[in-house]
Amino acid sequence: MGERIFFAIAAFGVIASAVGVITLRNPFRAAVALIVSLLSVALIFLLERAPFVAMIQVIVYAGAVVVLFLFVIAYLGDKPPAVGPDPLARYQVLAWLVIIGLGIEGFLALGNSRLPGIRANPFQVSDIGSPRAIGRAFLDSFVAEFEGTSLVLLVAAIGAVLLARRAVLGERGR
Amino acid sequence: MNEPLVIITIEALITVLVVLNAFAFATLWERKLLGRFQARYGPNRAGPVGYMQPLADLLKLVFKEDFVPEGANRVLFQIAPLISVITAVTAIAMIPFGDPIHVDGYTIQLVGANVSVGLLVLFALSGLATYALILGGWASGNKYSLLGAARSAAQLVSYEVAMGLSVVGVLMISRSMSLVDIVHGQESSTWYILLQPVGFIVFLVAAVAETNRPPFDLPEAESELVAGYHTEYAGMKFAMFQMGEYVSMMVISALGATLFLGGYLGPWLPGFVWLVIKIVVLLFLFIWMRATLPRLRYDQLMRFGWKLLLPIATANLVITAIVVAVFFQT
Repeated sequence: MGERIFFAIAAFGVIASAVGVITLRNPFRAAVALIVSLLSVALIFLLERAPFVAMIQVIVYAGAVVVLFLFVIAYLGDKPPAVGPDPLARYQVLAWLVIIGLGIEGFLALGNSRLPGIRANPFQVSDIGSPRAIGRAFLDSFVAEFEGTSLVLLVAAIGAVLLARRAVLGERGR
Repeated sequence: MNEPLVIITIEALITVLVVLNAFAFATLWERKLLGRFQARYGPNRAGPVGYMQPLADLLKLVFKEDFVPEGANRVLFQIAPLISVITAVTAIAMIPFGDPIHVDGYTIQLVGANVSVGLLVLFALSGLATYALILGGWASGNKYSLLGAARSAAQLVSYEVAMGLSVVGVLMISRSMSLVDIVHGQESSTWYILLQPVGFIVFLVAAVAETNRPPFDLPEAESELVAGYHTEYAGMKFAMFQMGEYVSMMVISALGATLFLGGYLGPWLPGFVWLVIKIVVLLFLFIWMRATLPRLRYDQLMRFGWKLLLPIATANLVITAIVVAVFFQT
């Protein structure tokens, strides 16, 4: 029972703040809503007995990524963009149709799913969330995928440095 | 491990009371020590040798007007100081104060929560603590506060990486992220400062930057930004920011003591006395640095963090990993 209440609070936090992220006009407030959303996801990870992933979620996403967002917003100013006539306004009907369609599809998928744990009570799987298990998964079972991902990230980081360097050189090193 | 809720509650209450009192006196000791470093006496008028000074400060702060500036975001302006205190005080729960004691048939763990990822919880809380500065600075609606907020964001991201890397060496040696296990690991081998001297130095520097203490106090740099992120704060809200800063200073000292200086281990005296001694030594170091070193310029801070501290931490990590893998494989 306690777990259900906890889950309800966390799930409500995720959805409500996610709606806030896309509806709030002020970018700073949207970023604050994003923090709440990410923290609620961390709560759900905790509920799934994955404390390591929960903490990494807080450290990396809530603690570093959004901090960078806020840094940029603080420097560029948080005035919302000039509100003119929305060029996409006439497609709004399509957007609503897609949302309703996705909602129906989700209900149907969940209703007909045979995945374990959806209709039966959740049960404990073997240890997959501890630091040890995650380390083994990264460096034993999925080492190629893991290294591939880190290579992509490295290339992206080098690309960012090169772009920034060109901008700095363009301003004569100032 | 299963303790009655009453005992846990009492434990938590005692810890919080002790820490909040320690905060009050830490401000006094800091001012007294700064006085000595600058060849003067420091506060010595209120009560015997000045020991009533924290009480006098408290009275003054309580009776100040609770003021919200006109351009401020009211909600975030009120929440920001709370974040500062809550994250700092929660972090204490992860620090082990001693071996379990037995009273009247109950086993009492002298640690708030012995979780398997205790170290990560501390890092998560210290990451969230920055939001107090960022949100407070932004919500004030003052450009100096905003500059302080932007600086604290940049500073956190730069130094948290170095700090994280500096402790991974300890994790490799102890093979655990639980602070209790890390202390036990030092019981069977030796203090990790002897095995990880470089890691300790990087940790110490990053810790000063994480807690925004001089010479890394750029978010509040009073010579350029009035008071940075807390320019618009007065009274108890200002006091809460101070409380957050001092409590997180104590927490990070306790963390340094636990990771590198053997935590509560030590001969003759009970465990928590040893931990307090080690915390006080590290706090003294914090104050000493404040009295001695001039504040870095913003670009120096960034260069120092990314071009010096981070490469040292990374090299230390790689060497530790190789040594542990080659010589201590089990």
